[in-house]
Amino acid sequence: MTGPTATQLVTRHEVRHFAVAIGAMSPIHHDVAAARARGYRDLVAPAFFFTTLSLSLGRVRPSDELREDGLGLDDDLSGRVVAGESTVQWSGVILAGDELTVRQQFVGRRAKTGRSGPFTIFEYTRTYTVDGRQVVLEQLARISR
Amino acid sequence: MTGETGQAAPGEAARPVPPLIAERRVRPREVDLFMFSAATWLTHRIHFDRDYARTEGFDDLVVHGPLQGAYLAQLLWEAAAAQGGELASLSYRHHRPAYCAEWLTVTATLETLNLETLNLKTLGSGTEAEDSGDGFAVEVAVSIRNAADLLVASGQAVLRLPDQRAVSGLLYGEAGS
Repeated sequence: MTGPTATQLVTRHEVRHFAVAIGAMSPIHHDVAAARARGYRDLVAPAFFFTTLSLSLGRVRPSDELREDGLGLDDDLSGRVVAGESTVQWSGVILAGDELTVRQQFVGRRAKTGRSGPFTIFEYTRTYTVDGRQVVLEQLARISR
Repeated sequence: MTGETGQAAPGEAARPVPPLIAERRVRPREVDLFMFSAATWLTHRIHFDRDYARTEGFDDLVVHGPLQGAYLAQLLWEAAAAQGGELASLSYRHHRPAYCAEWLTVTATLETLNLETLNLKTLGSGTEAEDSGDGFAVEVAVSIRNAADLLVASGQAVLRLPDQRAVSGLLYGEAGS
């Protein structure tokens, strides 16, 4: 069973954007000289940078390929969609200049009933690799009501 | 950023309190939600279109789940990096929506379950810091609370630290070696 996969070049521009968006102001995310002084080849992406590739799975869709709620027309989930439980394991860092690949596997779906009525949990595993070396393993759930 | 808080549980003898490892207050407003949506190319309207978010039953614009994850990861990463260590894993779940412009308190403390073994003199043999061969793995509890002190997200993390001195620095806020 093979799920969607995407590969993107990680740019300095994107590392800086993501770092500012989450309030990560260490110079290793912004200043190439500072990153090199700490022994890195280039800017160091913040730990959660992988999510820049995961949320859209690398796809940049025009607005006519989006639903009313802004998610992609081909999204697995419908109704009111929110984030569920998430587990992340790190085994490496992502640097500007890396080619980052994400592979998503659909694990399964479970129907449940909570205080606010029925909902469905969709579970996925995503692996992130650079040059074939795994840097992040993400297990996540998304919930639709 | 660091210090000691907390009290012994009722009925328990006074024990060393769980040191607060790190804490940060954030207040993501419209422009912050915009920046995260833009940086991740997340087009979900509940994060940038207030009128639309209300049609889904939310009180206001919703702070992205992965932005909360990023706040947690960054707090932990910086605490570990200050001691020459690294963030190994993070697991968290959401309890209620966090809304635009709410003050959020992002906190990392030692795992409560390990309270009884918290004693710096026993570090290295205690369970809260196990020598895994290439350093120490420290289990941490994480949370995000809103201004009403309600839990927005909670979970666990593991930090990997190079030596006992780094563990001590993490727990008691001393500079790394």
